[in-house]
Amino acid sequence: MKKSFLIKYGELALKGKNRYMFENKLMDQIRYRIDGLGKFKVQKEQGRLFVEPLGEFEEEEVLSAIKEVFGISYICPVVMIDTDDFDTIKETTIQFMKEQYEDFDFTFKVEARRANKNYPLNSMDICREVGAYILDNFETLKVDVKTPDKRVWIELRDRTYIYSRQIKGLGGMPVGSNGRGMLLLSGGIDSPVAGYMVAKRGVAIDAVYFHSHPYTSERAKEKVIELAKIISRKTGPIRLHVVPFTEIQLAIYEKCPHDQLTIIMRRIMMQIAEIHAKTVKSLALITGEAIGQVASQTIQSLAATNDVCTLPVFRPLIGFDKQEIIDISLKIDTYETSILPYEDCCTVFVAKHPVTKPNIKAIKRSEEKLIDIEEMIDRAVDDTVVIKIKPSRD
Amino acid sequence: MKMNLYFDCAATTKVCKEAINGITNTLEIEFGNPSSKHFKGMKAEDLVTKARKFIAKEIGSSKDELYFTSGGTESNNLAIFGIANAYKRSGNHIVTTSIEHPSVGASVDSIEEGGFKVSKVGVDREGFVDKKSLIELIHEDTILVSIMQVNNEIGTIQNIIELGNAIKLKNPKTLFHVDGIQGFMKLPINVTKAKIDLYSASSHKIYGPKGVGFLYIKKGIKIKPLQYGGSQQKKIRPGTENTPGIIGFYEAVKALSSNVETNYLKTLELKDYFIKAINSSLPEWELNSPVSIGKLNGEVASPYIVSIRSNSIKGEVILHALEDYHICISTGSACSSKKLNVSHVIKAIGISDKENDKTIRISFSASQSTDDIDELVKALIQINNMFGMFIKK
Repeated sequence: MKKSFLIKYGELALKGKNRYMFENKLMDQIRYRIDGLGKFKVQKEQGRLFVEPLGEFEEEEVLSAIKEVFGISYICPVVMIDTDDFDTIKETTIQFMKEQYEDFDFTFKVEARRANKNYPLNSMDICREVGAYILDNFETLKVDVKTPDKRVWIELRDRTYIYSRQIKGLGGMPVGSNGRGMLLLSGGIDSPVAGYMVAKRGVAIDAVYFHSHPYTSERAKEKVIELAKIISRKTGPIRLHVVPFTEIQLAIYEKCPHDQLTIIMRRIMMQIAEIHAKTVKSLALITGEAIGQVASQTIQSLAATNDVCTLPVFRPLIGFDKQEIIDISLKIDTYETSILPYEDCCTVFVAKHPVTKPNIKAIKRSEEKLIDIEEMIDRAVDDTVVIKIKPSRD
Repeated sequence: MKMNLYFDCAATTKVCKEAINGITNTLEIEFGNPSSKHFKGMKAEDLVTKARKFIAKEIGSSKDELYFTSGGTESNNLAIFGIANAYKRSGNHIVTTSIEHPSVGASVDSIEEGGFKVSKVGVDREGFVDKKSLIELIHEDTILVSIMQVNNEIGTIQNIIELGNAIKLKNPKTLFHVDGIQGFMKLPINVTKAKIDLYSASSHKIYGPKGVGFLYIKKGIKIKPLQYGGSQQKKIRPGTENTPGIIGFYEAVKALSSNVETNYLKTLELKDYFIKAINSSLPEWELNSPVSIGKLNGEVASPYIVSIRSNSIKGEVILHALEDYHICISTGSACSSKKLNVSHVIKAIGISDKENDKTIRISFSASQSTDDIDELVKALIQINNMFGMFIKK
């Protein structure tokens, strides 16, 4: 009797001739996540994956690692036996039940599948025989075929698999199966959620963060790094671009009308993000904007920031309420870090009454006052520090 | 590499060589448990007793009145909760000031929730407690008055002797607690002269290790412990004594013992030099600390702490900008764009919320030089030129 993990994937199975590509990406992602947790063999088998431990491992540790991989619908801890001898199957099932459960006070149902249609018993026979044997061994259990508390699956393939737990995966598609995107990551609640949402659709993520020393502290930067680490558990490695932004911010502050500060700043941020995106071959920008959340996220303001971009801008939170965003951030463990109070410290750069319906022509006229903005953008791009983020396992 | 300039000595200090040697000795050689009955335990107990005796002498008390704790916060908590719980039958009123450290402020707030009456006496523009208002607040049922010796944000030194005597004159039964965390080994203190019943101190503010402090509790005073366990420290503070911490603390006290006055005067010169430099090169900046400096006793400002206020730049921005010069300072309060985050001390001396967060705190040590101060002032002038123009419009 050997333990293993059976991985079921939903949407992937629908893909036609490209399916092997998606499966390979999924296997890569699983390998990446379980690296360091022991020795494993990851392999495909008839529309499923198996993660087979080759030595010592901690079941819960492996499960929680695999659970963070996009593209999985269910993960099942299974036991395998290299025989289809029916007595052995029955005995192994009992042993497996003893290991899985402590309290034998539930209803159950046996489900069987056999690949070998010449097997002397059909699926119904297997269910009935194994079910009866379980009842013989655990007197407190009852059968319920309609709404059982637990199910016991027995699958006869080239080996026999027995399992009873199906743990829900994240769904989505394996990261890397849908190109790369550049996430504008701040220290707030929204942007990590936006990164998570897009990564869920198989997009690999890089990120850009604008740092305004001394107006923002090192701790604010550490917080952004921590957020990137948390989402990288699911998105895979992230190249975090830390852009020095003070010079540009001060120039905007000095030369442009105050009610336009935020819009002009965001337009320049998008330009810089796009330059970095193209360098790392990202095909889109990703932001955490939602319509009407703040002055810079009205439909007119979004149009004004969008105006400087040539890459598509993905805004996966566009129709979300704040509470819905918070709910996801709690689910993906970024909330607690996002609300740490090290946000851009200085209110100097925030106007009391910012424009909510900016006129692009007026904004462009104001921007003309930033005579050497090209050089400043070049400097900010050149002085950007790239930090390679890998998931932390604590 | 550029030298670091550390002007944040009120936050913590570097542990001195003597303390490190003492600590190493108790970790490697005299590692015994002072409660053990064998010779190894006896040796450790002797060391703790020697430390207790020496430190007690520094504040004019006896070794039987000194209890080692985990630091300033625990000492202040033990004083306030310990007295409130032991004397609640005698009265339910506690008096303190509006500028206490949170380890006192939050403790009395908690006591207040538990049903005690708490009065907080205000301070003047320089942070001095108004003696008359304080005395008026003390009644028959006032069991405790808690006042800090030196304010940690602006350095105001209260006239503890005068206040202590006035409190006892009004109600001899009222107990007097003094938070001496920024004063111990920086100013002379005599608990008998000032009629102090409880005095808190911390080791890491005076070149000792973190995680150790003491509470002086005058003989005869009842106190309800915060924790229960063995019979160490007369059950008032049970738990195996932190011998490395206590010995490190002792060595640090011993090293400073004969230099309290010399260090005071040396630091006073530094502070004087700094204030003059700021006044001449940044005249639009203002002093939060008391102007009066000089003699060792009475109503003055500590030479070790100075709080100043820019007219335009937030304290936290100055702090981060100084990091580029490898200079460490502190702000009065954390700065945040989301909520108003003001220092209660700066507010209490009458500074508006709008100006409150433009405060920085410089805290000196006697080992610094006027050259160090020159570096600091030079950096502040540059920062003022660079960022001072960007005022919120």
